[in-house]
Amino acid sequence: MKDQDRERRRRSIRYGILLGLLALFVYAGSMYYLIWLR
Amino acid sequence: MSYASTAGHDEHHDQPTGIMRWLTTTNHKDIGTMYLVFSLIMFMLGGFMIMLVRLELFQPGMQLMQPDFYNQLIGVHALIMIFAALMPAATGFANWMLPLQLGAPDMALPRLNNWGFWLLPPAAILLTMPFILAWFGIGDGAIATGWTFYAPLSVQGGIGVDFAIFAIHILGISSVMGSINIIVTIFNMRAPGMTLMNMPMFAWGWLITAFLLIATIPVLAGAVTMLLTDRHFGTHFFDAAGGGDPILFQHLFWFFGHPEVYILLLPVWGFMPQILQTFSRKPMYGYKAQVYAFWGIGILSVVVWAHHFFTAGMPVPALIYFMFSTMAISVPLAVLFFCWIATMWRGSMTFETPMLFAVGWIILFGIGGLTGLVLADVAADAQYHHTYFVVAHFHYTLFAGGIMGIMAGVYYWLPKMTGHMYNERLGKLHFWLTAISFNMTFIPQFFLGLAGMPRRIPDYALQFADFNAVSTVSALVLGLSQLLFIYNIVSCVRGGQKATDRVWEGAEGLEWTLPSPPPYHSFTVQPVIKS
Repeated sequence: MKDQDRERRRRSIRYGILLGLLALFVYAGSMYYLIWLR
Repeated sequence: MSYASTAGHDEHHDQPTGIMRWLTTTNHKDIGTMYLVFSLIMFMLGGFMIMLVRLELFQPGMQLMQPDFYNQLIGVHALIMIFAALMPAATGFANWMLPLQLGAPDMALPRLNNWGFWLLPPAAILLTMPFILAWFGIGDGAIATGWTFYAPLSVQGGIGVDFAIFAIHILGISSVMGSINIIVTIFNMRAPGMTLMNMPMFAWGWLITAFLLIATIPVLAGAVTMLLTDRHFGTHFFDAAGGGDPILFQHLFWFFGHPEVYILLLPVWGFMPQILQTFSRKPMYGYKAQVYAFWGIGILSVVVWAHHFFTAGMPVPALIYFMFSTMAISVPLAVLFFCWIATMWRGSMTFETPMLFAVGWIILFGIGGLTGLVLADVAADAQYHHTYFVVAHFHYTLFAGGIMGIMAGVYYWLPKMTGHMYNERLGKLHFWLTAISFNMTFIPQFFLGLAGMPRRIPDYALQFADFNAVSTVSALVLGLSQLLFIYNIVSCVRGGQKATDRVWEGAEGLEWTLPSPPPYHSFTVQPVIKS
């Protein structure tokens, strides 16, 4: 059970970091696109 | 579906007490409670602001305030109600109920959860502080552009705009962190045997909401960052005098702003079918159809934004595209309405307060949806744009569809959260006062809009006086009747008749297998779902 918990925790952190990077990508990407557009 | 559940122990380990408990807590129920309390406080603050606005509009002419202060009140009212009342209420329910409904011990990322909540109070202070600073002669008050920040007004506005930009950044970070946590919890923390297609509908509503937030909040953050650089660092993104494009700001804002409507509503659409099935005592109708409708609405919501500014000017093909794509949303939404009604059809219905709010919500939100269809028509919108018709429409959508839905959720889950039953008679009185005074406030505004009364103007022509007087008196009744809601919640938290574990006779789901109130640590051993 504890091993499973540890594995699940690692997976949670991995998912969290990936989604955080996605949000940063949308933020930076939208501004980059608009600056390039101007 | 059947399940074997194990409620966890109720040890608090070395849990700090007093204020430190709330500052440092990583417990999903504590954080959920903080979100809900914060939301209630901000709901009352935003409501107080709009009471002042309605008092000013009681009669034509200027009575109580200067026009600039009026503009500040309507802008901050909207920002507070959207970002600090409705969104935190839905997040509060997510924190409280998602782990219980999914059979998880807590949210997937508890520390992030704590951080996400504690960003909210500073943001609320930033939004409202310019009012206080103006008393001391610093600055010229809060943001006076309305909640939409349209350039060039927002490029030229006072320090209230800077405070609001900072607040929006902080609120956005909080929302994105909350969304990440919710997605990870749904993907990674479901009980063994619970597949995505048999998890509770509330989890589906929030899953799509969370993805919408991650896709659109950073775009808003980018837009207001560029607004900030326009204001202070010499850029001209939105300043026509320097070669910029003010309409670009409208596109960017509404690319976030329209999905935001569904961000506010999808969590409610998630738990409302659960309430309907509980008090109809029969299974939810069309689970899969509702999930697909959620996806359809979620995807369509990011491709329809320009219907908010048809009159700003755009090519005819664009007008036609945005008109038809907006109208297309009514198809999946009609599927949802059909499923909600079919869930009640031939059910063994009783009308406790949550069910009263749920049925009232279907009717009133239906009016909001239908009047939205009217506004989606380019030709009709040319007349209705920027009138009180729009104000009435989005209050039917966001107050009836959002806040009355949240109220249904509060009455539904309050006995589970507190272990006590609320006062049913008071709850029903609260419903009827709210529903009647809400309609009496906003139906006149439809007629005012049709007659051409513009929104966001503190004075109006004499011909609009009667409807405005009715609207103001009803708005005051609506505001004051919310005191019953607060009294009922507070007295329920303090005591009352003991709630059973299942609370409602027809309730289905893992949260009802736990004691009322649930132990501090629930599901330390995961329940197993047997389909």
